[in-house]
Amino acid sequence: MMRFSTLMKHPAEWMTGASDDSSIVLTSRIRLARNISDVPFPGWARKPERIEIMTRLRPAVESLTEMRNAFSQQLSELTSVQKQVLVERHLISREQAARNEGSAAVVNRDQTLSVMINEEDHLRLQSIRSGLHLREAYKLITKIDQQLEKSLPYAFDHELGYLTACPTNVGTGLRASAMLHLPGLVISDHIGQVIQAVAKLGLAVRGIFGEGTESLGHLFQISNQSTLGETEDEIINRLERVICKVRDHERNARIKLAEDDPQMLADKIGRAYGLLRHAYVIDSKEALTHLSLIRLGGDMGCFPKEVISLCDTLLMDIEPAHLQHISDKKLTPEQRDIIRAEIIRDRLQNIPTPDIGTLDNQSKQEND
Amino acid sequence: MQCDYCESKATVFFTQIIDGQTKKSSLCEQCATEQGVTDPEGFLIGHLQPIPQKTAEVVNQPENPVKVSAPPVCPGCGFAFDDLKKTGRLGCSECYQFFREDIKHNLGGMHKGISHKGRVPKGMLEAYEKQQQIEKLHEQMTLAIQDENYEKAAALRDELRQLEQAATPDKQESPAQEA
Ligand SMILES: [Zn+2]
Ligand SMILES: [Zn+2]
Repeated sequence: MMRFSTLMKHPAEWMTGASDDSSIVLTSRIRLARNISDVPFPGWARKPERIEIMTRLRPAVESLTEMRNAFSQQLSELTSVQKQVLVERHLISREQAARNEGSAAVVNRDQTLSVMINEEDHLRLQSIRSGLHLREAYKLITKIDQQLEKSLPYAFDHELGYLTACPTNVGTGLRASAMLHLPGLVISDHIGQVIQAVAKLGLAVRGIFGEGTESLGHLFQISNQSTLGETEDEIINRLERVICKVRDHERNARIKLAEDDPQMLADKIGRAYGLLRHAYVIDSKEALTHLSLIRLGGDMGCFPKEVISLCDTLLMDIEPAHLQHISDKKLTPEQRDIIRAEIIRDRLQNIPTPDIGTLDNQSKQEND
Repeated sequence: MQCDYCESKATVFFTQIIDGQTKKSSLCEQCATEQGVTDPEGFLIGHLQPIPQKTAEVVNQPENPVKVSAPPVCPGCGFAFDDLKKTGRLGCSECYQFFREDIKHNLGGMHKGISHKGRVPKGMLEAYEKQQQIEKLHEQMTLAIQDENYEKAAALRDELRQLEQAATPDKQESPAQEA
């Protein structure tokens, strides 16, 4: 079994897998909710029952071929910082981090697969890929699901499908989601329209908003809401179609911004670069706002392409628990802001000043 | 503005748009962290917990002390349907059998449809098909007996026996556990 420190040494596949296609859609994620029959759901089970269920499920998960040499821990064996690090890496949920005995997490080496045992459901199977690869992620997780269904008596009903603790997940138990970076739509003020259009299709759009203004880091998550009444393929296809449309809108918004107002864009990217290169105290909100613009600059040719994956890794590394894990001690928020600034300065030190000329060129090229 | 969850000042404003309806939440820093709202990539933002009643009086319902008959509970796990409103979650998979109509009543608003169209676990598909076949044979047998076609009925009975024997291991339900 892999140790926590070993897990941390390896960056997740989807953090480093930044290819051309992840510049707008960062990641795709599929989650399946599964339960076994004849025992209470984790939230209703008493502690001894929960432990018994976990003891039954854990060997089944650990013996999967995909989980060879996996990281596998009971939540009670992890420190609160370690739990939080797993949350920040999207390997366990916040809900699971709050649990202790009778709950376990199993994560494969590439961190593309994670299985939560006794979270809200007995099993939450999850796969993450970089870029827009929902189908690939679904294929991966289904392989595991099909192996588990051979040895475990899944709670299944021919009318209602997979039975889940919360009726909002019943049916396929499938939640497909993608994380999108949409600075172009936010800056050009078209994000509201796009969100409304997506929401009308019955999909959920989530973002984190400051005082009524832009979403933090210009990051948005789009996911399906309905899990019953459609096949898995129908759910995924519908979501993928919508995400492709949003991606095209974002692409066009970026081109249009470079065309209409290259100075404004250059100013934003240049300031973000200057600030992050020379900040000594920076909170998470400010860091995210500026990293978003660096990331945008990377996509528009102002920086070398590697900047995109550099930003994606930073997004994670500057989160509170990661900071504490890296510095190996408990930090006050003030100390975190100092170390955060230090890490950002260090990572950006070899990134040259933005080549703003490319903004002009880009709009000209697109016009040809 | 005050936090939806406590008395503190709200500093985080969270917007979710679900089925065309915009739900705005205002939270203080601490509650935002607890609810998972501050996750910068928003990956794990799930449903926010229901907002607790800020007035304590609602908890005691003195106007209804005569309520003698206890609400029905799931024989599998002792869960009462009213608990769903409090926790948003059911007790066990058997709750779906026991409260089926009540649950189905609420599903339409949440989902695209009310019956499962997706994947079926492999073993269960076979068991289901077998079950359907058994039911069909039973029907045919009853008809044959009604028609006094005993030869056919006997043949069907033998066929049924064979099928049922093969199906017994899965059909044996374990007794409901003590609540
Ligand atoms: Zn609060
Ligand atoms: Zn139950």
